[in-house]
Amino acid sequence: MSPRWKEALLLAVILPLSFLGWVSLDLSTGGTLVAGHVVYPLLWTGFFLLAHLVLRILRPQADPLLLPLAAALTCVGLIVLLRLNAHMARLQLVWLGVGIAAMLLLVALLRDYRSLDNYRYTLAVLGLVLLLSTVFFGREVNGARLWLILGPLRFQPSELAKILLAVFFAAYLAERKELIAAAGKVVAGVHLPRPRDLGPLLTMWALSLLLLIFQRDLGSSLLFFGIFLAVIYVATGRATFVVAGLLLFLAGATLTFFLFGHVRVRVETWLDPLNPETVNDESYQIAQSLFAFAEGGLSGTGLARGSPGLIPFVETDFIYAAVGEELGLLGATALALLYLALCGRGLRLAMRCPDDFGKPLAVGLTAVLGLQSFIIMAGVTRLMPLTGITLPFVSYGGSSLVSNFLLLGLLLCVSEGGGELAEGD
Amino acid sequence: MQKGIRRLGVFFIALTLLLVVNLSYLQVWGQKGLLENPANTRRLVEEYGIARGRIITSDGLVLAESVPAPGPFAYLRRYHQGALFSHVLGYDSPQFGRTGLEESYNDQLLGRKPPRSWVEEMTSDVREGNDIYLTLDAEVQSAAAKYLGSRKGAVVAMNPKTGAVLAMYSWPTFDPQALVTQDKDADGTPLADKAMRSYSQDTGSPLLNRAAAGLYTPGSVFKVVTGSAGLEAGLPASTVFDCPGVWEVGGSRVTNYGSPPRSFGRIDMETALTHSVNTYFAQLAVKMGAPALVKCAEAFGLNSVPPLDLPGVSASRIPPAGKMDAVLLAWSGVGQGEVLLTPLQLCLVGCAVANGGRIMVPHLLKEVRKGEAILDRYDASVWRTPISADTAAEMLKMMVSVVEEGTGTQAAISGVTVAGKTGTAEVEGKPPHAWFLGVAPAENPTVVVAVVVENSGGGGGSVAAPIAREVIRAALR
Repeated sequence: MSPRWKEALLLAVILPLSFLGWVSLDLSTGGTLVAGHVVYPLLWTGFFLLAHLVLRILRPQADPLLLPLAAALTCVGLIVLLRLNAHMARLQLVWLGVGIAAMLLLVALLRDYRSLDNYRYTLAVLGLVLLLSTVFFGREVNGARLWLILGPLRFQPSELAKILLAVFFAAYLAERKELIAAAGKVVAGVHLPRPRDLGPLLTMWALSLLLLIFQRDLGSSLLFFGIFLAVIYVATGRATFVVAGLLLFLAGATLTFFLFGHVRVRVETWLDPLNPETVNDESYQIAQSLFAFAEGGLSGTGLARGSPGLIPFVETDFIYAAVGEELGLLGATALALLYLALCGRGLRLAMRCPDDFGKPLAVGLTAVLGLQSFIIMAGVTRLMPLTGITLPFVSYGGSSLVSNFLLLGLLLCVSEGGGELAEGD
Repeated sequence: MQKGIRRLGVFFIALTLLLVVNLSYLQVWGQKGLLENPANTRRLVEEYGIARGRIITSDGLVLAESVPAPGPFAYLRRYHQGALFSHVLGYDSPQFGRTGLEESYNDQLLGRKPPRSWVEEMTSDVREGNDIYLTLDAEVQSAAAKYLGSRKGAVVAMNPKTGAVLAMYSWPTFDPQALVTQDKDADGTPLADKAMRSYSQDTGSPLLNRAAAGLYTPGSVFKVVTGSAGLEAGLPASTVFDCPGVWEVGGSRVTNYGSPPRSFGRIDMETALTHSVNTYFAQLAVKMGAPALVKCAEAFGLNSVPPLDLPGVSASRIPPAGKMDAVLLAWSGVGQGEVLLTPLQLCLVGCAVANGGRIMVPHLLKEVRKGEAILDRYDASVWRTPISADTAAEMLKMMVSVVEEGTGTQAAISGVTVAGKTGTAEVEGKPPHAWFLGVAPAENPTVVVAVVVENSGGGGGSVAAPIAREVIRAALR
């Protein structure tokens, strides 16, 4: 069976789920179907059918699982959002359309992803400018400077920057991997890198700290550093970079713990979220999130039967808690497995990719999805300190949704190989 | 590079595994602790989102209903009868939780019981609770409140044939509405907090349901128990003792009422009960022995909690037989010493006498309804059978004599044969408690009333009997 027919088959299974979600939600909310709500599954289905048809023409050989997996994730996100906040669900539907359009445009325009290699420094500079722009022009929302506000448009630059930097890491490390990996001394069986090869690592470390200190953006800081470590590890095969990187990060985090109150608060609420002194104050959000998961139990309260509205920002950072409450352990686990499947697919296409740029690129992009989803899922379940980032494809948010579809588009490009050039090979 | 990618894949699998193990902890093993954490208000918000059922008396008076409210709680309780039924109803407050019937029938009021069909459970949310109808009769309750008035004490009235509680009133009382309101004063202090503080600090203990939880020295009303125990132990009503004004036992003196203590000479049990002769019942208790008295008292329900469908019911007390010497036994026989009774327990003693020796399970719930449909009904059943039908008939006969010619004449109602027993319980350093236990009509009893007036200063016959008379009158109307 050709990849596109596999994709069609999978979509045929997943697309009806959105109608099931709509029926289930309406019945449990008011007991009757609201005809107007049919717009959500209908448009959502339309978007993914369109994407499928365009891929048939543009990328017949691209990976058949990526689009259905993204469809499943956005389906859960859309139904849960519709339950939480109808206004946000409407906007999310619009952003979904924009995101899929952006993905298709990228797939259409970028005939060969290897051409990105030529713009590596342009992309890196653009990424850094985006990241640092908020330091100077950003607006502080909920304790973190993450937003650029241009008239009526609000934009979270770090969402796009993470892709640009993943591309840059891949390009930079693909070229230098031998140099970095081969040089250096072996001491007691451990391969030590040359000091000058530590440059990129130290630069990234500094950048992460900068994000942490000036933007109070713990999530992005951790994410960027994690992507970098994943790519450098895969590219060089040297675990010493990972160990050194983690030690550096821990040192930086410890430093900020003692220097900055907001980091300290995050750690304290992580260690003791149910402390009666803070439970209605600093640790209110994480405590409410834990209560939501407990309320859900094994099979959940059922859509619209829980009280996820008690958690501040449940539509964005904390949407996983709403899933845990209303869809239960089963639903929350299913969602985690969907991300794992997406990552598995991304790594598989990285292994099959024939060229030295495509491999680390696919790894970097996959690491973005895998790490970002883990950081926030682990954060709201108190597996690690909470850092505010969105759950890819599920959380409410235009910048996040569009960026993730661009990322998906890149993965689709890599999965098909180098377009016309590859065919000519 | 392939090896590195594979290892990264293993790393992602490990992360997912960690996540799922942690989720399982939160949602399954550790679930209970999180649900019960005091900071977890989910249950509250959910429960106050349901229009709780009404609480209605047997004669159709609505005592409590839920009304839509602004703020985080969609519905709040409204109590229509002020303080009249407060100890029975309790309160339903987001801050202070639930007490009384609001607690014991919470599941019914929230519509969780009786269970719904699974089709309903799947397709529709519970938005409305069920109504509960009580055995309480608003007229009897009002009579109890009116005639007890502003005196510390309690009144319990029951139907001895079914165990249905007709009235249960305790004073001082409280306004449940004051504890439920979400209003705040000018400083932003919740009014409910202020009300709770003032009720808790009040030395009159207005939150205490004296009828079911108040333990009082019973005094002479306990002679109904002592007399029944004697009859059951094979000492017939014709048993005669010589009853001087003062009877010495083990270096202590049991005295009759009156100054100087009145001497009755050789009398039988009926005369002794009619005139409440202490020296008779002290001798009777000593004659039958501590095991017989304690066994009968425990058969009536002392030392165990009566199974009333209300939280916070106390067990009445009598010391174990092994700890009673002759002095304590003699004093116990006249309801002094270490014997303590709740008004509810006294009423249950009266029920046994009135119902051929059987005590029915006391209850406040009559039925659970949704609209017109009756979902559940309280079925009467026997709680215990402390005495034989013969003993009960004998005791009832003697109690008729109490009201006709003895200490309880103030309880008499023209046209109705009332049986009863008075009590004036001595308490150290304070005026005595006034008691009355009434049963009517004696030919076929349908109401038993127990009244206590704390430290009244007067006797049971003059203070408590008139209250019982009016409550009986209301119950028999």
